[in-house]
Amino acid sequence: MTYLLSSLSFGGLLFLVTAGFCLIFGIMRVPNLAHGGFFMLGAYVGVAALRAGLPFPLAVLAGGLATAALGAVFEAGVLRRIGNNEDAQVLATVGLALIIGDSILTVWGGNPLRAPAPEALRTSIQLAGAFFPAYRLAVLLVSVLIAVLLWLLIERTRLGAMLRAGVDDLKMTRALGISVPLLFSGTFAFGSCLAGVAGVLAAPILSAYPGMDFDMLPLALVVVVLGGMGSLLGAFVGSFLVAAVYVVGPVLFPEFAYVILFLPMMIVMAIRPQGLFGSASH
Amino acid sequence: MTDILEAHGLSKGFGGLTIISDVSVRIPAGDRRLVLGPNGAGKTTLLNLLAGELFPGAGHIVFEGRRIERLSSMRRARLGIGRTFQVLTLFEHNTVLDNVVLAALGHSPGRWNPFRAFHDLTSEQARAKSILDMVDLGRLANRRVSDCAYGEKRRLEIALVLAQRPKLLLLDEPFAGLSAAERRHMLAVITAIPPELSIVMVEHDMELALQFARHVTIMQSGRIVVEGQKEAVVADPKAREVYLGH
Amino acid sequence: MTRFALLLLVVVAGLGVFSPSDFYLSFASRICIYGLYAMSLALLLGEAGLMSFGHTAFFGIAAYGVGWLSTAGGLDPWVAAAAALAIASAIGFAFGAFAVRVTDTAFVMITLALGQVAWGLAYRWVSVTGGDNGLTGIARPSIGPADLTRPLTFLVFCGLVLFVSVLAIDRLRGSALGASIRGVRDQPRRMSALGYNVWAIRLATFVCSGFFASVAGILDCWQQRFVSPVSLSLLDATLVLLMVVIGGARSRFGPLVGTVVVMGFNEFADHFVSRTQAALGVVLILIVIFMPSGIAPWLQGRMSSRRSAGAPKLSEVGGAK
Repeated sequence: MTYLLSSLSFGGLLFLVTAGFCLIFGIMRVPNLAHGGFFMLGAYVGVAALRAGLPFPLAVLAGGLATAALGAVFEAGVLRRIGNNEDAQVLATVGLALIIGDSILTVWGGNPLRAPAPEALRTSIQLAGAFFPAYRLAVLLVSVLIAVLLWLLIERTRLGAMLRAGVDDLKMTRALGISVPLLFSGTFAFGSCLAGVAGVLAAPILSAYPGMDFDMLPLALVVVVLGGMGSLLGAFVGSFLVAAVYVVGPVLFPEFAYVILFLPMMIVMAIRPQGLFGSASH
Repeated sequence: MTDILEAHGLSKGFGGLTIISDVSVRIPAGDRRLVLGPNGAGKTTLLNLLAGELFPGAGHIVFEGRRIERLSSMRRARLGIGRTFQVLTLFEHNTVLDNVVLAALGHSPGRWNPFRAFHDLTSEQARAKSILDMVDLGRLANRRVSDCAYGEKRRLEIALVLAQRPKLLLLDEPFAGLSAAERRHMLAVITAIPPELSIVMVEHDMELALQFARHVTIMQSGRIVVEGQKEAVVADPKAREVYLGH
Repeated sequence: MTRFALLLLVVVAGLGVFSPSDFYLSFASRICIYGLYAMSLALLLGEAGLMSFGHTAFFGIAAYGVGWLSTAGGLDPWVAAAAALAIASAIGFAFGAFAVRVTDTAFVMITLALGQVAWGLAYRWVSVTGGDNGLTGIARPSIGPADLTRPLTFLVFCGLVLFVSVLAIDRLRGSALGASIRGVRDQPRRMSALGYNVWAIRLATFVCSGFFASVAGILDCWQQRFVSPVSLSLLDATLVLLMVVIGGARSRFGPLVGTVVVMGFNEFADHFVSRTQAALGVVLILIVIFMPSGIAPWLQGRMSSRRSAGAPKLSEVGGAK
């Protein structure tokens, strides 16, 4: 039963990370392989903020801002210079991933850093006859809330409509008066911010540790593939599915945990490259 | 005279929008067929259906007695259908000669040979040179394609399709973007294509293309409006309506 | 460029003979092994235009294959090697048949998944792979009187394998098949229209490239006499990709240059750069922005422009450099 809540809260985190990835990929066509790095950076910045005595919400803000800033700088300074060369863009994000990973090792060392959950949430709540850690429940709720906000942003606002229109045709976007460079920087910053926020939220659960970037990234990719590259709903559903397999898998099939995670992804990729929910245009 | 290609009742739509509906054509062997029509008439879609880049929603295509509408463009190429592209799809970093050699290699089992050097393919090179002479690019054989003029690149497209030993050529707007002098040059090249090859040309520029044509098919809004021998079509009031109406 | 490469080879070999410290010899062997690994990846990335993050799977499956078959499986090292090659190639063929149906980002992701599956198996299938501890006590084979357990002999062996493989890859690139591979990279639509089987050509490249990576994996297993999941990690996959890109994916010997740069850097740079991986990340970004074709073509351009001030020399092998 605890596995259920673990899966759900991890699913929420995974959704935040994946949503950021999908946003960046959807608008810029760049698979940001540094996305795990942003997740990790958020976690470390969050821990640092907490240790400096900041209240939890501010730590989340710190993590989000740090990753957003780095994302914006990277997009403007590196990706924009590379232009349209997809392979080069992917490689640049790989370079960034290496830099983030190593820098974190330098600053914070190799040992995992534990982070305390906010005071108010250090209890357990009883639901349906079992005890659940309140913090994990809170993480789940926050993730769902952000999911709903994202959905509203994309489906119901003018900006979202423009984003949806812009995704498929850059020239159209320019014609509508949106500055493409600004759109790209903003998107990359916002996507990275989501990953960073997820990182801060994850810190009390997973601790901040080196290697969490390349632990998280492949999972997000599985979700993207299974859920469809452009579908928010797909990312949402996929995140919880993948989280469940990731949490429960090693218990049931210790030796083949990774296989059951990735094999479906490979099969879906091979048969239906647009994912289970996506549309063929992506 | 037998038909080399027959299409019956072709229809094609994309997401609710019908591009072509109920189009049927018969191409006699050795024909010089011109497909005309205003923008959006469905000419290029028809060409792509014949070439195998698109599969029809309905209808069938028969090539030399064989149903081909479900065959890929690769298989159709091997059966003898060659096509040019409207957008240049040449190998810009290679020489003109190498482009044609690569095209000529496409139907030979030697293309799988990992031991023989590409630059030692003497018989393919000889053949490529004679094709280049046919399109008047012989003296440019060793020039890099990226260093060639646009008109020369267009003629190279023709050379590539000739290298495939095609029986049917599908030419997609071969005159597009060419200057007046280049157009006449291109017309001369196309006219010189051996008569046993059948040609279907999609074009916008009527003046020159009509000189090439024997039969003309005019399309509008996804359907065939007029079809027949050139002189008859040109005289047909419906033809004038298609163009003057715009 | 060929003369330069040969000179470099002679210098490296000469150093090996005259300063036979075991460390240098084993380092030089690792350079040969990773050089082969990088050349194999360059075949896929440079010639076919397919960026794979799962090439480690070939390396690792072959390494674990020969490791396990010669220890628990009790086979002679050569037999184990042959079997491991066969297994890795078969898996590569089966996987490749699906993977090359997609391109670009989808291919990146599907190969990344392959790499992760292989890594996950190596890490978790403890009963077979030894998990984190890996497989130890793997014996090197002998060739007649030559005892490969001696570092110098092993280095010569690796050097020979590298040499022969590079010759083979070079031959392939210059061949008719090589021209088709590049053709499919540059204009797949055109190639289809010309009658080429784009899928089959990509698959052939994938399998070939995987074959050489598998050879490298076997050599690596023998070099360390040990296999562990580290060589299957995403980080390792990235490092090899780095070697290819830094050296030049489309250049003839560029990947070898890239291997020397990256491995040399990793090994010796920590005297003056405290974080080698971050530095490599920076280098990768700089290369991608300023020298996208890699170091080797840039060097080559410098050398030929010093030699002849005239028209740019067309590259030896008829493809884009």
